Amino acid sequence: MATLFIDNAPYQVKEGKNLLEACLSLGFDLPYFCWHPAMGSVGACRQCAVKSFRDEEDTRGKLVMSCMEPVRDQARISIQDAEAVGFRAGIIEWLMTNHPHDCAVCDEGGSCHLQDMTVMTGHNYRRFRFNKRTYRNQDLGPFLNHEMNRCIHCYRCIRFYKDYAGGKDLDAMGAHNHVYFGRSEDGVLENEFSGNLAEVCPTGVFTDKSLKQHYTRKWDMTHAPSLCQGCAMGCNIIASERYGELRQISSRFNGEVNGYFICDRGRFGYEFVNSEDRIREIGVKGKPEIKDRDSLLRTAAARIREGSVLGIGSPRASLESNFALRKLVGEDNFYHGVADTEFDLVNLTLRILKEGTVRTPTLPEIESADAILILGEDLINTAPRMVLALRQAVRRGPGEALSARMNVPLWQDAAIRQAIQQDKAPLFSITPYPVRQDELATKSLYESPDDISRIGFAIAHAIDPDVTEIKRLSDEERMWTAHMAAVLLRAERPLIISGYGAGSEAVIKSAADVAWALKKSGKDVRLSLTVPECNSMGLAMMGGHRLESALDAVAHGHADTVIILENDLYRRAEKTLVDEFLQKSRHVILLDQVYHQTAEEADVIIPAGTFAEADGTLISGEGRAQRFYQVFVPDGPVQESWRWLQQLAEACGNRTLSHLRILDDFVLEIAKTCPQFEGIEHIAPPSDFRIGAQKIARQPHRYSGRTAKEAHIQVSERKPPSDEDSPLSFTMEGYHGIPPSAVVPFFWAPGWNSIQSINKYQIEVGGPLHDGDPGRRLIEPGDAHTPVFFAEQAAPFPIRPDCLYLIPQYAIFGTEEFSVHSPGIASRSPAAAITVARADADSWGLRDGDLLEFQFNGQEYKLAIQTNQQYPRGMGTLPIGLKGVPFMDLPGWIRLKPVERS
Amino acid sequence: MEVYRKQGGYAAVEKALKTMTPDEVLEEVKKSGLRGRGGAGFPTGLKWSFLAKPEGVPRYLVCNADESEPGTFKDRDLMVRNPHSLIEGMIVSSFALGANTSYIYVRGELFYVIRILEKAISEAREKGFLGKNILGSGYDLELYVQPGGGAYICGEETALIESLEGKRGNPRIKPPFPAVSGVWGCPTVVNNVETIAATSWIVQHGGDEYAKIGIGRSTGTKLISACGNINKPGIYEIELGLPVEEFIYSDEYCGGIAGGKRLKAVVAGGSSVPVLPANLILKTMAGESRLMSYESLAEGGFVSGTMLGSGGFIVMDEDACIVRNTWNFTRFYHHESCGQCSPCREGTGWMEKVLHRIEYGHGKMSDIDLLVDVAAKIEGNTICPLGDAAAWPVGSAIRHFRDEFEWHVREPRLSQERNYGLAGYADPLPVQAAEA
Amino acid sequence: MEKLENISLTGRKKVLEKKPMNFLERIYLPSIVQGLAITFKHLFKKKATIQYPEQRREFSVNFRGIHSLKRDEEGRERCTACGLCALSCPAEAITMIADERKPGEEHLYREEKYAAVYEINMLRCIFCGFCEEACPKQAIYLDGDIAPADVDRKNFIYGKDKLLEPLLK
Repeated sequence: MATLFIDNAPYQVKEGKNLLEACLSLGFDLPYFCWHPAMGSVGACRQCAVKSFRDEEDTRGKLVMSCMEPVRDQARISIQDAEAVGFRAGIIEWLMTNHPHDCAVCDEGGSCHLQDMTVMTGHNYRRFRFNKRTYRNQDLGPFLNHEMNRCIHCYRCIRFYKDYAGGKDLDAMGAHNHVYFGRSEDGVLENEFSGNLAEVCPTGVFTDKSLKQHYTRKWDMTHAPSLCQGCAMGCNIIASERYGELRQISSRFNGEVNGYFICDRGRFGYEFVNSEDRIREIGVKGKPEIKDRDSLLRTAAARIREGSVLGIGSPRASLESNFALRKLVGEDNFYHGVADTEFDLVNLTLRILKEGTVRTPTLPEIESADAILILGEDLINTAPRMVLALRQAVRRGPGEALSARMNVPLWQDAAIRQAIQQDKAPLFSITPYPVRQDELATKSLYESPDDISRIGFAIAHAIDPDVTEIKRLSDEERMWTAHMAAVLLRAERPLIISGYGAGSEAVIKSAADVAWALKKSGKDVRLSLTVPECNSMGLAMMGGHRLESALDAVAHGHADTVIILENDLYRRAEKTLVDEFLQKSRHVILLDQVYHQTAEEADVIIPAGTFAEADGTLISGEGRAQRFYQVFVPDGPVQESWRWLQQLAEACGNRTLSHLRILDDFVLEIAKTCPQFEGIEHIAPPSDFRIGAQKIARQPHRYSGRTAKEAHIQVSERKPPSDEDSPLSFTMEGYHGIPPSAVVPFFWAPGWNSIQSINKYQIEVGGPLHDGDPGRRLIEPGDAHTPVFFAEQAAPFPIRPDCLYLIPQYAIFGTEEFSVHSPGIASRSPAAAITVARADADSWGLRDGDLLEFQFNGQEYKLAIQTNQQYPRGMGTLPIGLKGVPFMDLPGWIRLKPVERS
Repeated sequence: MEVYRKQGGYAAVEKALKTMTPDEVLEEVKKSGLRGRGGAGFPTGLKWSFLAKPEGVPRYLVCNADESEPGTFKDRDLMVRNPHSLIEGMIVSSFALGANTSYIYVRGELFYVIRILEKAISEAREKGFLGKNILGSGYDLELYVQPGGGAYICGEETALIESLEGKRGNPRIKPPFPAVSGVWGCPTVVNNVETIAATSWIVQHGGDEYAKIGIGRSTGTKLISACGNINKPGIYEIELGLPVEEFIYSDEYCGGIAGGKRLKAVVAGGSSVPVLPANLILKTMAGESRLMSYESLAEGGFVSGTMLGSGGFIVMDEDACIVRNTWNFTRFYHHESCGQCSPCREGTGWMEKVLHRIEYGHGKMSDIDLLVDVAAKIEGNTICPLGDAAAWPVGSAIRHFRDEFEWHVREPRLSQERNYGLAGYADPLPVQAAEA
Repeated sequence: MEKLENISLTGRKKVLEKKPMNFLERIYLPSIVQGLAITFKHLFKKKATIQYPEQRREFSVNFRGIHSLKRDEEGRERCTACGLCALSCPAEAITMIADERKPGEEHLYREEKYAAVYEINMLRCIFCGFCEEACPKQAIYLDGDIAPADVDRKNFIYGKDKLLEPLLK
C-alpha cells in the first residue's frame, strides 16, 4: 500500500496502478476518455490531467496525465487545482469544437460518457465560432450504426477492435482533426465482438443498430440482470424493455465470467423475444375456445392423467423448469431433449470435471494462462467469449516479461503492445479445420477428430508415461507432440481446452489426460471443456435418460403422453424418428417460446416465458450457477415454464410440487433434494431481501411516461405488476443505490449515466463488483488424488473410399436456434453446405456449389459442397442447426452416392 | 565515392573498426560534446549511453532524414552532395551502438535523395564498408533506406519508428524511450543526419578536437539554412558562437536584408521556435549581443529568447506580416498534426481558424486572448513536441507583436490593404547595420 | 384577570373573552339588513362572470394551454423524440415512440429521428410547462386553448393527431 496525497488529504492506495485508477477507486470523479479498465492507458485524450507536486514545498506543480502516472508512495497530486480544472475544461472545449450538438437525435444521449464528462468538467459556454468538420458515414452492417461527426478521437474503438479483439477491418485514417475511424469501404464489421464498440465508444459514433429499430433512452427502459442464453459461457447481460418489447442487451460486468465484453450473438441475438413467431397464446388442438389458463390446465391435466406420461427436458430451459418437469413426470420418465451424441459428450464432460483432478478456469484464469492447448474446438463458434480471453492470454506472458525488463507497468497499453510486437505466449490449436483462433496460435494443425485425440493422448503420454502410449504416429506428429509436451511442462499455468465441438469423446478424454498429467507433475493447470447450450451442464448434472430411450418408450408403448419442455425435437434427432415418435404419442404437450417444427405436431401448446419473461438459474460450462431475472411481465398467458409445470402438477393432483410456489421455493427444494446443486440458494439474495425496506428498482428513477404509456389501452392506470419471485420491483419505486452484485439491474451512479458507471460498482476499478462477482461454482475437482487416465487407443483416421467422415460444425451466427430470429444475425449465417478438402472434391469431380448426394443412417440427403484446401482428406463438416440443414446425429460416416461423371 | 575516399573519406570507419572498441567511440563522442542537430540539442553521447543493452535483443540505429521543418533544408543538401559522409557516420555510430541493422528514414517526397543514398550504399557495400564482417573486423552492418510517407510528424523520433514499422505515424508516449523500446520493440537510437555525419569527423580527429570548435557547451559547427528576406539565402556551416548580427549582415553569410529594408523579426531555428523581434534577436535583454549557440539564443527563456532548433533561420523584413506568418505556420501545424492527442488535434485547428479570421479582418479583440489561452493549454500537454512547436510561434508572436494583432482587429480594412510594418513598437529597432 | 406571566411564559398568549351579546345583536335583524344591502348593491354592479363558452376571456401572454407540436418554416415536424419532455414531466404524462426517418421523408421530419407516436395524457397533465422548457428543438409549446371537456376519459389521451400543428398550405 502506498500513501497518496490528493489535495493534501492522505489516502491509502494500491501500488502498481495508475493515478486515474487510484482516484476513481477512491470515488473521485475524474473525467477520462481514452483509458479503459480492460484496455489500459495510452494517454491520448489528455482529459484526466491532474496537478502533480514534487513535495510539500512545491506549490507550482506540473500538469500530468493521471492515467499515465503510476502511483508512488508519498506522491502529492491535486484534482481541484485551478490550472488542472481549467485544463480539463479546455480539453472538453476542444473536443466539443467539432462535436455536433445533436444529443436530442443521438442514440447515446442519456447514457453518454461524453455528456457526463462535459457536465463533470463544467464546460458550458462555447467560444468556437466556426463550422464543424463533417464526415461521410459508413454502412457497417446489421449490428452497428456509424455517425462519425460525433467522434472525439479517443481511439478507443480501434484499440478495442484492432488491439483487443483482433479485428482487421477498422482503422484510423487521415490526420489532424480529420482522423476517420472506419473501414476502408462500406461493409459489415467482421469481428465477432464488434457490438462492444457501442459500449466502448464514449459517445454516439458506434451505436446499437438493433436498438435503433425501437429506440428508447436508457432512463426509459426497465432493466433486469440477466444471462445470455446464446451459449454455455454464461455471460452476464442486462436486458432492457419498454412497451412490452425487449429493446436492448448490454454487457453486465462480471469479472469472473465475461468482464466488460460480450459477443455479437449475445448482444444482437435477442430479437426472437419480440418475434412474430413467438408463442404467446395457449393452443389446444381441436379446441380453439380454450384460451385461458384455468381451462388449459384442466384440459392438459386430464390428458396427462389419462395415460402414462414422459417428460423431455431441455438444455436451454432453466434448472427450475427442468426440475419441475422431472418432479411432474417422475425421475424415471425424465429424458434429456438433446441429441444422443451430445448427451454422451456432455455427460463425459461432467464426469471428467467432477471426478478428475483439474478445475475449470474462470475468465481471469484463462487470461493469465501461459501455455494453451486447444484440442478439436472451433472456439469462436462454440464459446466465442473465450477467444477474446485467449487473445489477452497470449499477449500477457510476453507483456509481463517486457514490463519487468523495461520497468514499464502493464497498463501502459501502447508501450507494452509496441514492445511485444508479434510475440505470443505458446498456443497450440489442433482442430479438424481452419478456425479463428489460428490467428493466435504458435502452431495450428488440422487433423481429423481421431487423429486429434491420438495427438492429445501422445502429448499426455509425453508428459506422464502412465498414459498409454500411442502407436503409429507419423514423424511430424511425433515431433509436434514432443514439442507441445515440452512447452506445456515449461509453463506454470497451462490451460487445456476441448469440448463438444469435434463431436468426439476421445478428443475430450485426451484433453483430460493431458490436463491430469500436467496436474500430476505439479502444474497449476486448468481444463476448459465447452458444452453446447446455456444449461447443458445443469441438465446433465440433474440427470436423466437419453432421448433415444424416450423414442423407444413411445415406440414400445410404455408411454403415450409426452410433455416437451422448451425443445424442438427436430433439432435433436433425425426427422423420421421424431415424426414417428410424435405420431405414436397420443398427446404431445409442448411448453415453448417460439413456434418451430415440433410445435406443428403438438396437441397442446403452452406459452413459456423467454429469459426476458422468466426467472431462473443456469449452470454454465464452467460449472457456475447464475440467476437471471425477469425483465417485464408480458401480456397474456405467458409465464415461466416452472410455474406452468407446477400449476399443471397441481391440476393433475400431483402433490410433489404443491408446496412450491415462488422461485425461492424451487431453488431451495433443488438445493435440498439434489446435493449436486447445493449452494444455488446462495447465488442471489432471496425474494424477501430488502434494502431499507425497499425492493431494488428495475426502472431508473427518471423513467418517464408512466401515466401515459398505457393510457391508450386503459385510461385508469393499471396496478404495476408485483414480483414475488425476486427482490426486484417492476417499477421505479425502490432502492437506487448499489445493490448486491447478483441483482444489479443496470449501472448508474450520480453524474455517471453511461455504462462507465460500472466503476462505481466495483471494489476497485476494473476489479470485482461490490460483494463479489456473482455466481457460484458448483463443480470443483476432488482432492488431489492420482487420476485414472483414459486409456484409449484410437487407430489413425482411415480414409475410406466413397465415404466421408462428417462432423458437425457450428457458427456463431446461424446455428444457434433462437438468435437466428434476429435479422442481423440471420444475415450473417454461413451457407448451408458441406465443406470438404479440395483434393477430395477433385477426386469426385465436384466443384464449389455442386450438390453432393449421400446416405446417412439409411436416409438420403443432397447438399451443396464447399471446398477448402486446408481440410484433412476424408473428412467433411456440416453446419448443424443452420436453417436448411437437416438434422443428423453427427459425427458419422456418410456414404456418397456415385457421382455421374459427364 | 572515389572523390570522397581521396579526401580522406572512410578513414574514420577504418580507424574505428580496426583500432577502437565501441565504448571508445562512445567515449570520443561524449568528449566532443556533440549535441543533436535535429532541434532539441540533446547531447548525443549521453543519448547513446542511455541505450539499453539487454542480452539477445538486437539494437538499431535510425537516421532521421525526415527533414520537414518549414525553413530547414540542411539535411537534404548534405545527403545530396555528400551521401558518403552520412553513410560513414552511420557505420561508425552503428558500430559504437552495437547495431547490426540501421535505417535511414528519408522523407518520401525526396525520392531523388533516396536514389542517391541507395547508390552510395551499394558503392559502400562494394568496397566492403557494409555487409558481413566489415574490413575484417567481425562487425556486420546492414544499412537500409526507408522512404517515409512525407508527414511532418514522422520527424518525431517515436512517430518515425512507428512509421518505419509500417504503422500509422503516431508518436508514442515516453517513457519507455526508444533507447529501451524502439524499432520492433528493441532498443533504438534515432539521430539527425547532421549529427551522424559529425560523428565520423569526431572519430577521425578525436572528441577533444571537436570540442575545441564552438563556444561553451555548444561545440562544433552547425549547418544553418538561412532563408527569408535576405540577400543570400542558402546553407551555411558556421562555427557555433558566431554573433547573430554578423550572421545576418556579413557578406560571408546572409549578406544583409534584401532590398536594404529593415529587419523586423527572426525565427531562429525553424518554424517551431518562438519568433523574436529584431531588438531581441540581436541583443539579449541584458544588452549582450546574441550568438548563434544553443545557450545564447535561449537566453531569457521564452519571455525574450528562442532556440537554435534545427537551424532554419527565417528572416523577416519590415514588410512581413506577423499575423499572416503565424497563420501560415499554424496552418502547417494543423495540417501536420497526427490527430492522436486532443490539445494538438483540436487546438491547432482552432488556432488556425482564429488566425485566419484575424488575418482576413473578421477578428475580435477577444480572439487574441483566446489564442493565448489555447496556445498555453497546448504547450507542454501533448504527447510529442509537435504541440509545443505549434503553440510557441503563436504564443511568441502575440507576446512580441500584440500591437500588430490588435491593429488587424481594429483596422480590418486597412490590414487588408497594407502592412503594419514596424509601426507601433515601443522600442525602435537597432537596424543601423543594414544601412551601413 | 390573571397576571400575564401566569398565563404564558412567552407573554405572547392572547386570551379571548366571550362577551355576552346585547339585545340588538341578539335579534340579528340589523345584521341581516346589512347583509342584504350588500347583496342588492351587487345587482347594480358590473357582472364578474362571463358567458363561457359563448364569451371568452383574453388569456395572459404566458398562459399555458394545450400543447402543440410545432413544425419548422418548411413544414417539417420539429420533434425528434429525444424524450426530454417526457423525462421532465412531473406527472409522467408524456410518452413517445421514436422512429427513424427513411430516405424520402426529409420533407416531413426535420431531424433523422422523429416521434412516430407522441401521446400526452391530458387527465394527468398539470400544465406546468416543463416540457416546453426542456425541449431542445422548440418543438412543443403550451400555446393552445384550455383543454376541452369530455365525457369519455379515453378522449383525453392526445396523440399526434390532436397535438401536431396543422400544415399551413
